[in-house]
Amino acid sequence: MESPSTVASASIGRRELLLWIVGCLFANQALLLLDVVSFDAFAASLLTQNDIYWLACAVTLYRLSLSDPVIRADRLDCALALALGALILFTSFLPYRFGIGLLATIVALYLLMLDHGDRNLKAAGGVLLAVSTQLVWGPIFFQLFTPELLKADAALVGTALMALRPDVVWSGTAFFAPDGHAVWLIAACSSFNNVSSAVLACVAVTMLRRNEWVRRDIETIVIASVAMILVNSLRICLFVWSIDYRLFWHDGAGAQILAIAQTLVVLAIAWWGAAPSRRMS
Amino acid sequence: MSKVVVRGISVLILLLTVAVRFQADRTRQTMMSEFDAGRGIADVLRSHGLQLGENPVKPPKLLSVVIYFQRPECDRASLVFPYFINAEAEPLLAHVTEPGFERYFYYMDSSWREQHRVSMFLEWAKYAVLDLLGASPYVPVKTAIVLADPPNCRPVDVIDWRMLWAKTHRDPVSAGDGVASKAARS
Repeated sequence: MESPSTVASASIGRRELLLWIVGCLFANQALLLLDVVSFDAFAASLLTQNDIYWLACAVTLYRLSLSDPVIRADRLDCALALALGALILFTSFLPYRFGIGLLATIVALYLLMLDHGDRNLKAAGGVLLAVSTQLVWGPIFFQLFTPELLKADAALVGTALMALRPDVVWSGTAFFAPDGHAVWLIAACSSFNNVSSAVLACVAVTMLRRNEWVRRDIETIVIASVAMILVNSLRICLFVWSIDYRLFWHDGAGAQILAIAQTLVVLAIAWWGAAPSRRMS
Repeated sequence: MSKVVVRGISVLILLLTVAVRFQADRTRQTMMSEFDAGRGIADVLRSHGLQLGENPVKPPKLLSVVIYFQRPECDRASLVFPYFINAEAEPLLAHVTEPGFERYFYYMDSSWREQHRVSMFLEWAKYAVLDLLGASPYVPVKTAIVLADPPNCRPVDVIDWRMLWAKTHRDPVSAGDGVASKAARS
């Protein structure tokens, strides 16, 4: 007859089971975000990746790996794993992000609600929820409110240009310079994507440095979001300024410079916001 | 549950899902790359014997995708503008049309007098799901079109725009036969 300790060591741990589930989710998500048709396409797609997204994935796995290794997976955990395995297989027939993002949300809610007092699991759940929001819920929200969000962006840019370049005519979401240069804001110009990344960065960096939330983390998220909106407005102002500026900042090396600058700014704010000294103040 | 069994199942699911998704993604990419809205619109117009006009705007400008054509019964050119269903077509359309132009938005087998992004998204979702079952008559790409006819232009010829998304697009004569409602005809 087997002793309880033998049974315990032979059965799978909750931590390992959750790592398998989340690892499978991320592997499937990666295929949707990376171009694996050829080596060149893969290398090119690496350059266009959202680094903050991958940081958040890494933080999720990191927090899961720090969760309690002693607790064994119970029946509910095993049932969830089996159901999710079947659902991941089903959604793999869908070449769209929605299916896998929805499953990531389910796992995130499971981690948040059934953490059994393990703060690392709760932290992992929070980051995974932010990841799934970035992948699925944010784009759906954006789809529903694109015109309104673009008008808000245009209002910011238009107000700034009225002071800096009064000769530029602002009409709705379009800007017309006297030399014939014109810029129309389209969905890709919206600061919504930047705000979404800012929230994800704050969640990921905070949960990287600690495994609990404090009230002032909301301030950090607000500051990072405002910074992203301002940087994006500045970016659009540069596009409108002249055709040469647009070619450099939109189509040339300036686009990369702005992308790197935005990432560094938001990560710096997130790191500052999650600092232990600030938390104590 | 035993470690060995769970690990074995996990590895199996991981490999299986990645392999299936890889294949599904490749199929989708092939479908997307083969869908050329500009060429498709030109084919549809030619199949109706309509003469194409020249677009003065050249790539990489956004408006270079606009396709002009002349209806025999109209004194001015009409135009078709393909766009991503989530994009705001109105501001761009305002730049290539004048007040009084009649606008019709088309996406697969539906049409609207104004841009309805949510309705188009739902339409896309419907055909994306049907496509999984091999039951979609259309390629579920997220490209819609808007047709703008000049004022006082009363088109005689009915254009079946569904042909643009139809999987049998290469054969325009058979493409529109009995696919769905008459909503997408103008």
